[in-house]
This record gives sequence, structure tokens and C-alpha cells, in this order.
Amino acid sequence: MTDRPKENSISLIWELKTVSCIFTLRNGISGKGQRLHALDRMDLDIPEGRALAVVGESGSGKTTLVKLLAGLLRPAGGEILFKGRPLGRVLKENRELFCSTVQLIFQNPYLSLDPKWKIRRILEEGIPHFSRPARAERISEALRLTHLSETLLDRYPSALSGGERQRVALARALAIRPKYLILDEPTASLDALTQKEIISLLKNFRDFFHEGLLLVTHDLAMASQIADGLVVLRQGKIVEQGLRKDLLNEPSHEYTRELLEALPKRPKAF
Amino acid sequence: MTPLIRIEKLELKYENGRKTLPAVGPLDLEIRSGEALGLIGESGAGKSTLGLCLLGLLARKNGRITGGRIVSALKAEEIAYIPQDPQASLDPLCAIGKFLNEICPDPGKITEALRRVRLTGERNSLKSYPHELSGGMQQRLLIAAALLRSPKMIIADEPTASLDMLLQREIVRLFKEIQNTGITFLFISHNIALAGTFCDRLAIMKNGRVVEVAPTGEIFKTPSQNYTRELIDSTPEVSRD
Repeated sequence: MTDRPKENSISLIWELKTVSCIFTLRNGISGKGQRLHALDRMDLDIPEGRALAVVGESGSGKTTLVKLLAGLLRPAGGEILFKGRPLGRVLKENRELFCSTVQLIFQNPYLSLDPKWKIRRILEEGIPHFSRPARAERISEALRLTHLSETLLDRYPSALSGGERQRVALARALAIRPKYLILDEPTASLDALTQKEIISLLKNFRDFFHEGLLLVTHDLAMASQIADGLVVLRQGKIVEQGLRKDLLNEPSHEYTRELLEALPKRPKAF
Repeated sequence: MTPLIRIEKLELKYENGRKTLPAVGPLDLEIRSGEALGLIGESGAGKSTLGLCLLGLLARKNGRITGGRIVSALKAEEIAYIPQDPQASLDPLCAIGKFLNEICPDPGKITEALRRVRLTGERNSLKSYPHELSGGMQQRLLIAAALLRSPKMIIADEPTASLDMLLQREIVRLFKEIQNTGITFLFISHNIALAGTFCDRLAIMKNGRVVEVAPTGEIFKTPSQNYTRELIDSTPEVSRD
């Protein structure tokens, strides 16, 4: 792995110390298990208030990393600290506080919204303890930030396009006013125009809240539009990390160069 | 190049209960023999509907032709189809060998098709099941299945949408190799930049109509429609600042 010089005096939200995650793949019900190291002794510091992107090809361990950070998976080895305390203990003692601090946006908006709930109920889900006026204010703010109309509130997800659904997922997270957003391939199932819109919304989120986000994507171009720092992941290991500008202008690892070269280039003028 | 398929003032509609929803048209388009034509547009533009129509599968989705006509030099079985999501397209309980054997029982042809898509070696044995293959390998398997039909034309509907950048590049290179053997391609995609790396001409679709058709270089150099410009600009470029 190539490490670039770190900035001083940054407070960290997550610290991963030699974290491993192993899956056992079985061949049939009684078949012999094959161990897959989804993450292999990973060390990673994630600072507060920054936009960090984790990039890599399919199977590199990006989504596993997201699940570990969100406490949806437990590491097989190593330790994850959240604001200096073990993540497992934080989740056990105050899961609610963790959830109001960290929000997740998943890849597929067709699966991440309950089809039986109207949009209003979906947006209110994360803020049930607020008074009605406070809820209305938060929802109104989230809709404004995601460029959604209030007329959508009484509709079901099935009446919305893919882009609108993903914006609802984003609005649901923003209504909670989280300190940190984790986005797992948030534009993978959307067309290019909608992707551009979501990228612009994520930039707005940062301008408005000045909070941090972790973007997981295979698209290095998209990552470079949003993130200050990049982490390049391959086969469960970090191969290179650093500030966007440094890493993209002078990639030190062959794999990073390969990812850059794989981006489709606009044909030159004929 | 001679036209393989000529679409004249075609109109397609979907029927949903008593409602009839216009999906495509009126639309004119020509697919030329041996070319790679990119059908580009956002979700809901009617790209897949047109693809299904050319395959003769529109009725299965409650769609029907309500106007115009398609003049085709091809029989239905001469057109092969590569779908978007390989995981959803492969039977998880069916081994690769059985899947391919149902399309073509000739072991020689199966071996040749797998060689052309570079699915060879022990790991890709015919006894493997779809879940044992990566996303890229599954997509290559579907390309092999398409080749087994000895098609004159392949319709690939967002074939790289569920793949990462490295695999996208690999699949597009493979398509180019296949096209070089004389097979015509209709490449359906929302990604104009990716289509630009492979297609000879691009047809831009919006709200069920083709708003612009031109050689790829021309489209990128002098797009005649603002919408085309918007599509080109929507491709994120690496920000190195």
C-alpha cells in the first residue's frame, strides 16, 4: 500500500485497526466451505467533516467496508473505533445516537424504500420523536435540498422514477441531519442525467451542512467530483490513499492508473 | 452500408388496463449491416421498448405496434439479445454447460463460443453454476450464449450497467472484436461516453423519439440538439484540482 503524508490535527470519526472480514462460501448445502477474505487486515482513518471516496472494482471489499462501518457486520479480526470508542460498545449502549449521527444511502432505490409506505411516512421514519411542526420543518428542508416537490409526500415509491426514489432516500437521511453520510454506489442504477443531478445534490449537502460523507463507488470520475480524499481498494486491501489532487495527478500504484485508464474518454473531434 | 433494418414512422404503445400509454414514436431509424449503432437516452426514453419490438417480444410486456412498420432483412432467430442484469438472466440452479446446451447441443460450437469470450480454464468449467462466476464472467457467458445462436445482429440492452469500469471496458472490447467478424450491433445505453468508445453511429432518443442520428465523432463534435449536449456533459470527468 502507498500512504501519502497525513494532515495533522484532524479528529477522526472511525478508526480501523487491522480489520479483517472473512466470508465462508459453501458449495451446496453440505459442500466444503471456502474462505474469502473480503477485507484483509485493513488500517484506515476516516476524518470527521471530510468527503472521502472508496474506489475499486466489484469484489474489492467496498460494500463490506460500508457494512462494517455501519455496524451491520462484525469484523473477524481487528478493531473498529467510532469517535475513539469501540463501535460494538457504542452500538450496544446508544444505537439511537449512532443512527442519528450516521446515515446510509444504498445502491438500489427500488429496494431501499418500503413499497407499502407513502413518501411522507418514509421521510418521518427517522425523526419520530419530534413534534409535528418540527417534523414538517425538517421534511420541508430535506425536500428543498433534494429538489423534490411536496406533492410527492402522498405518493407511494412505485409512482416515482428511479432518480426521484434515490432523492427520497437522500431526503430521508437528510431529515435526520446526520453528521456523516455513507453512500454505497448511490448512482449505479441511475441514468447519466440523473447521476449528474445526484452528484450535484451531494455537493449541496456538503455546502449546506458542512458535514462528512463516505462515498463508495467504482467510478473514479464521480468520486473525484465529490471527495477530498480517495482510498483505492483492491482484493480487500488498500493499495493507495491520499488527497484527491495528489492521487489523481500522480497515482503511484499501477492499479489506480488502470482505474483511471478504464474511464471512457469522449471521442476526440474528428 | 446497406440497411439491415429500416424502421418507418413506428409507433408503439403499452396497454395498462383501460389506459394506453404511448412509449415510442413516431420514429424513423435505419440499422446498417455490420455497424454498431448506439441507442442512447435517459431512463424511460423508449430504448428498451424499441429493442423488445425488434426482437418481437413487445406483446409479452402488453405493448403493441399502433402505427408505421419495420422492414427487416433478418428473421427473428437471426437476432440475439444480451440483457442488462446477468444475475437475473441466468437460472441459479442450472449449470453453465446445461444452459448452453439448451441453446445449441453441439459441444464443438459451445467450446468455440466460450473461447471467443475468453471463458476458458478450469474455473469456468461447464459444471460451474452462475453464482460461482463474477459479474463480468456472467456477462461474458451471456455473450457466448448470444453467439451460439449464430446471429447476424446482436441487441445489447445496457449490457454494462451492472459492471464496474474495468469490466465495462473489457465487455466493450469484446463487442468490438465480435463486430469485426461482421455482426451488427444495436447497443442500448444511457452512457453516451461508453457508447462513444464502441459505436460507429449514435441515435439519441428522448420521450420515445429519435432526436438526432449521426456518426459518433460528429455527435461529440457538433451535436445538433441541446439534449445531446446535455447527455455528453452529464458524463463525469475526473476532477484533478
